[in-house]
Amino acid sequence: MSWRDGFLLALRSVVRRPARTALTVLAVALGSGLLVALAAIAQVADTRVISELGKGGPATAIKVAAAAPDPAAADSDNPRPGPARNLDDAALRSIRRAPYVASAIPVTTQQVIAVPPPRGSAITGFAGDDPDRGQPRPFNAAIVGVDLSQVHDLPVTLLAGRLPAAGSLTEIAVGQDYLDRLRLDVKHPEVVLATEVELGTPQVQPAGAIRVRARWTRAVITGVVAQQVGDGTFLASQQLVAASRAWQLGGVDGSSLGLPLPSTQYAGLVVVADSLDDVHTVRAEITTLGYSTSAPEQLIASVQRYLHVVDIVLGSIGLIALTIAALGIANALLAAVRERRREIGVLKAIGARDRDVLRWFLAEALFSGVTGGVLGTAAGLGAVAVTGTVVNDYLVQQGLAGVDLGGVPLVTAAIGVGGSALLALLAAAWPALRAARLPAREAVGAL
Amino acid sequence: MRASRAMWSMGGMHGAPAFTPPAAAEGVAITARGLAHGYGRGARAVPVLRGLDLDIRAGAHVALQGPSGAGKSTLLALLGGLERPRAGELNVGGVDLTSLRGSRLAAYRREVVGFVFQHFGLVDVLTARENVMLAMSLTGVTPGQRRRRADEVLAAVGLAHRAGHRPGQLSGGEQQRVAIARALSNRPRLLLADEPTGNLDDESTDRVLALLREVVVEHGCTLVVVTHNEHVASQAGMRLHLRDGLVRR
Repeated sequence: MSWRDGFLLALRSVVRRPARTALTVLAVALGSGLLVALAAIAQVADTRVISELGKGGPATAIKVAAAAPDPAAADSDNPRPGPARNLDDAALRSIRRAPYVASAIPVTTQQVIAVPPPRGSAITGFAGDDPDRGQPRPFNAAIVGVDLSQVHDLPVTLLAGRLPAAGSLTEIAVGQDYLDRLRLDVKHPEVVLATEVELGTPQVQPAGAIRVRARWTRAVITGVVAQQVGDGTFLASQQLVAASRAWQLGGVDGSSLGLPLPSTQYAGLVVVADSLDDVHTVRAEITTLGYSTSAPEQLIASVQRYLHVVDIVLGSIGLIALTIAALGIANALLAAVRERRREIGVLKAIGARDRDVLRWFLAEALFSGVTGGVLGTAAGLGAVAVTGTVVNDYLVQQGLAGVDLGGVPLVTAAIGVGGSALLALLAAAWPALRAARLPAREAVGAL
Repeated sequence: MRASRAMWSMGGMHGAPAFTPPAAAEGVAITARGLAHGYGRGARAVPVLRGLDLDIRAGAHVALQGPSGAGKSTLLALLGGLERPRAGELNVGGVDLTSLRGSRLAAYRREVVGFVFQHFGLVDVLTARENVMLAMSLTGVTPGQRRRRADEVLAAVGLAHRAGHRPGQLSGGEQQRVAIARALSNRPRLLLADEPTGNLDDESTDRVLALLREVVVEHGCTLVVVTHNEHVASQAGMRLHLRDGLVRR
């Protein structure tokens, strides 16, 4: 008897006891569904927690400061930087060439004077904070400039709206401190979207009556972000910051006025290691090159250990469910063997080998395993989607970035189905062997 | 029979003695010498056959009779290769059945023997045609050939119009005819029938008996029927009475 014939016979056999078959399939579906759901949720939760530790960027991101390392604190996650040091293109190239470095993204900053609406445009709920003129007060701030096409590698979490277009000179994103400064509710960051803010870059003149001139840029706020790229209220494209910086460098040093010229080409770098395991090596290499680094390396390692424990607990719960399902399959097959002793005997009497009977029962178990696995995996992924939506809503309500549930890997689904099928075969092994080894005469009964 | 011979020959490659199938394309002769069999071991041993001697010519129609416990079913089980004798010789078509075991014994059942049971032994979730095809699926017949041959044998037993029905939709007589069709599908050379009319009414009994007679004549196989029914036994060319594990002629 071929496997094909075995499957056809098994398919006919399972309909003989539809209620038993349905319950067995349901048990497998529950087991695999639970395992898939727990695995997927654990995976998303892990990603979320690690991502949170990376403040929205990859957990493998390392921040490099424009400062020499402090040898006494080189191994800590957040060492105190040593003396300032120019971080220039040469240093950037050296770091990019270092082993295990996936990417290195320069960060620039520029001091500006920011003038929020209504001078730019009106914000709902904001009446201005200048008691004399009913206008908002200008304030000193910094713009952080990065290559926005690489924002996925940066510790930036979008809370509302969208990021400025890469290379844009007129779009900008603001941090939550901008909302605080305007005394707006941080739970409703959307109110500042599409409003304008004016940004003035100072240029200190070498002489004359007017000591400081400003270059004004009017930018539209496209999004609200939480970012750990650099110290600054605004996040903009590298080009916008470069233009402002060029203007300031056109003047002279104004340290006496509190407007010094920038002492470093880049305010910092965000270096992404190939993997979490490589973070320490990359940090050590950058330290050797003479720059201070920080990364939540040890924190992530500790959290990963805890998450691993959570994974084990969740996995165990799923495995217990699958084991119960496996026992269900074994029990159902044992009952089937008992019921079909005569049928097995007849099959052997007409020439079936042990392996033919084995195939028949294994195929029957495989049917339950695969059907239950497919149903369970689908239900499990459905449960993940529902849970994710609920969690997403909660996170957004709390002013946090939502979780991406589109990334439940196909391999999880494949393991759900394949694992159920394998488990069914394992569970069926003993009953099927028992059926296969039934002596023909005993199985036929009294001749 | 070519395929079956190849299979028999392959049996010898696995260490067990090679088995040459009966040469003739007709019924098989049966000889037993000192055939003994029983159940249980030691103090609990229950002897059933006690050194039975038997000679049945190829193509014979034999009725096995005797009281319950005489050993009829046990002899049928030994002839059908469902069990191996504990002692003595049992030769079917020139082959010593005591030398066969495992897959070679299964091959013997598949290629040489056809069984007809009192309880019909049909798989209730399969149609009549599928029940017949099931037997052929064990011998490696292609699905297309299976269907064609199943329809042929069902037509031969007068059930072409019931090929798509399941056993539950057939009468007892029809089920037994399906069982005979299944037994004939692999062209057996030894047909063993255990009380084939035990569950049938008179009309069905006559029809099944006529069919079995036809099998002997047309297929030329040896037919051994266990029966308590005198009418059934009277149809046989040779009647063997078993009592206390021995043949009493």
